[in-house]
Amino acid sequence: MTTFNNQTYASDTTAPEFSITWQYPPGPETQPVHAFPNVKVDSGVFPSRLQSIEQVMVDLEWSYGIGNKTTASTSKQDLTDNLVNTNVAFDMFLDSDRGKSEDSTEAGYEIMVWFAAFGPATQPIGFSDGAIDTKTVDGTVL
Amino acid sequence: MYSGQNGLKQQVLTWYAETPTENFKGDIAPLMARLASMTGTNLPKGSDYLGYMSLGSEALSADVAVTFHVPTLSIDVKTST
Repeated sequence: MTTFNNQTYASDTTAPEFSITWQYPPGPETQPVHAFPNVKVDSGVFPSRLQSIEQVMVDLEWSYGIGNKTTASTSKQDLTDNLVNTNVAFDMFLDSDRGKSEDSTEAGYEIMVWFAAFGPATQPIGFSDGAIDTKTVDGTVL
Repeated sequence: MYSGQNGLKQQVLTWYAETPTENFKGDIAPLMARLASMTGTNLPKGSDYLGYMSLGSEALSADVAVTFHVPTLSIDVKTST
């Protein structure tokens, strides 16, 4: 994993630029996800009750490319041609118990926000049951 | 938004962008609040704690090496307490 760890954080809400290169063969249907390279929010604001969260302002730019160099913009065709199955997502965990809410394996609820999904194997849980709701944020229909 | 239970018996609620969105600048708190205000079972409540937040990519499979690059990531959480 490449991180630009030169301590030039714009603020304590900003993560350093990073990139990660991976390649995995398909896993079993019951356990298709091999890894979740991610950046975790560690500012001390969590745990926090859901009703007390007024705003979660996100500024996000990402790209996915073929090979081990970064690309300026993502070509969905390239990813399809190379049988890439992956997503880009916020991953959050909640629980009525404060301690459990911090543990990604113990928490009772997981809320994800998928900004992209690539490949036929990449489906959110419950996809076959159909969508329950839809909402638009910043022009993105979710 | 999709809902279902995973292998660890966690209820997973997924807001899903139909079109890949490489640039996003906005407040995602309404997405979470919406879940707490919906009627139905297996939904988080406003009194539940949000204890963990991360941004990443689930690596399922690829025929070749692929590179996930995040040049910009900023998450600013404002709470009322």
